[in-house]
This record gives sequence, C-alpha cells and structure tokens, in this order.
Amino acid sequence: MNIQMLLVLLALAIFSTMLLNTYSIVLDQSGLVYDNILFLQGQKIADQYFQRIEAELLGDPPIFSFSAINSIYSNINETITVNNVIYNVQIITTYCDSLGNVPYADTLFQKVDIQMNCLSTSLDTLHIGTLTSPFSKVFIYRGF
Amino acid sequence: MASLLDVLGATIAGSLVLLMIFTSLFNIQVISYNTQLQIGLTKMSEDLITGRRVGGIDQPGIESILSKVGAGVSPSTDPIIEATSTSFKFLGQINPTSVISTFYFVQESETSDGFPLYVYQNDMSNPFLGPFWLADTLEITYNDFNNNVINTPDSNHDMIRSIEVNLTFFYNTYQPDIDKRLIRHNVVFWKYFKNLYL
Repeated sequence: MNIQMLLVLLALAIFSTMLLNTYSIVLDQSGLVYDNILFLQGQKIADQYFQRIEAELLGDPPIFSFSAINSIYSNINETITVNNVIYNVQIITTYCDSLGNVPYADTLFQKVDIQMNCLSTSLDTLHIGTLTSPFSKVFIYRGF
Repeated sequence: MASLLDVLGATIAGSLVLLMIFTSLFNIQVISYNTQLQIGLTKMSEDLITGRRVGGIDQPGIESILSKVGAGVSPSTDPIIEATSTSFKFLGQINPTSVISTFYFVQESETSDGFPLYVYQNDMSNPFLGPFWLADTLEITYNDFNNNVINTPDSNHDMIRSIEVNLTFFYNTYQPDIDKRLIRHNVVFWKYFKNLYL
C-alpha cells in the first residue's frame, strides 16, 4: 500500500469524524428545541392545576374550603397525555407563611408545589419542575 | 494499464466522497432549516396564546380574551352564547370601565391552506385576530365545576366552568419531498372562568 492510499484513508477518517460530530451537534440542537416544547406544555399543565385550585377557592361558599384543598391536593400523582406524550404529575400542598416558608407555617397560607416528568426526545427522563425547584404558588385563606 | 486502474479507482473513490459530502451538507441544512421553522412556529403559537407586543402596542392573547368570560355580566344574563367543539361565543368586559363586548373564538371552514382560526370582538364580519392556520380542526372541550366533560355544552351553558383548547399549528417543510411531513406544533391549554365561580 503506497503512501497516497494511506493519506486518502486518513482524510476519510478525519472527514467522517467531523461529519459525525456536525450531525451530532445539529441533532442535539434539534433535540433541545423539541425538549423546550415539552417544557412549555408542562408549564401549561401546571398552570391548569393552579387555575383549578384558585377557582375552587372562589365563591361564597367556595367549592372546597381552604383546609379541604390542603387535604385533596396533599399528595396527588396523576398522568396527563398531551400529543401522545405522557406527563407524570405530582402535586404536594403544605401550609406555609406568606413567603412560602414551610418552617414558619400557619394555616392562613398554603403552598402548592407541582413537579412533573416525561420522556424527552432522546428518551431520557425530562424533569419539568423538581422536588427542590417545583412550580409553586401560595394561596391565602379567605375566611372559608 | 496500472495507471489507468489507479485513475479509475481514484475517480470512483473521489466521487463517493463528494457524494457523501453533498448529501451530508444537504441533510444538515434540512435539519437546521426545519428546526428553525419549528422555533418560529412555537414562538408564533405562544404569542397567539399568551399575547405579544407589536410596535409598542400590546396585543392580547387568547388566554387573556378567554379570561373575560362573564366579566361584568349581570347574573341574570347567560354570558355564554355558543359553545361547540370548534367555536365559543361569549360576553365579557375588557376592563371595568368598558362596555360589555361579544367575543367569538371560531375555527371556520377548511380551505386549501388549512383550517382558519379567527377571534372576533363585536364586529362579526371583521376579525381582530386571525386567520391562524391549523393543521387539524380546533378541539374545545367544556368542563363543569367538578372537572367532568360536558357532552352537550351548547345546551348546558350553565354547567360550563372551564375549557380545554387543543390547537395544532403547522408550516410547510423545506422542499416537496414525496414523503414530506408538515412541521406541526400541538398546544393544549386550559382556562377556568373565574367569573363563573363567583
């Protein structure tokens, strides 16, 4: 095998590596875009629960009392399917202070924490809100 | 003869490499372009749903418009005029000092461009938002205060407390391949009509 053939093979190897790397980068970017779409949909799902709880606390009398909300949503695990993607939703309610701090909790405020996960485009688990950084909203007791 | 074989071999190998280069470049370009379209489509969808600011003017999103259902309307008046899977007409007030308006959120008949989505306010001939082209028909699901689906919403307006809106926007793709698929973006959002809970 002469030197020219070795050089051609070397060029092919280098080119193929560059090509695979470029493909990988482009596909990674594409995956990021699609994962962000899942994040956006996840936010809408979390917003649905917040809207629902807010609406259930409205009215005179409301659909559910403040303490009933605390027990109904205390530990919910549900799945919601949107566009063939399954979102596993976990909701936790805890009494807290007006800033959402649990150690100084009283029964005037409660915090609703929502976290969820689904399969990302790369088939890894995509966490949308986590145990330590969930979607969070503080609700105030209105006298019911 | 050996030189001729070398030349032929080099030509074939070179051609294959060139073919691989051009095919790869083309594929990378297609993936990048489609990703760019998907980003644009997602942004447009979010703008439509949550609102946007154009030239210093705030344009309300569908969510904001739907939050007006029943706002300022007397309890003796039914704030919902029409509730079907492809249309929703209701009464509401934009702000506490404005008059009560009639809003109409509707997907009209399919054309060669897709299903057009319009939003009207008072003037039912001139939409103030739209058309937004949908790949599939608009799907609106109505729920009662227990979050159960209402099967005949248009004859049970008093039961409606929230809706689930399912929209699928689309763009054309890079080129008319025989197996081309449209760039689609499906969004589902929910709106609870707080004025109807009061």
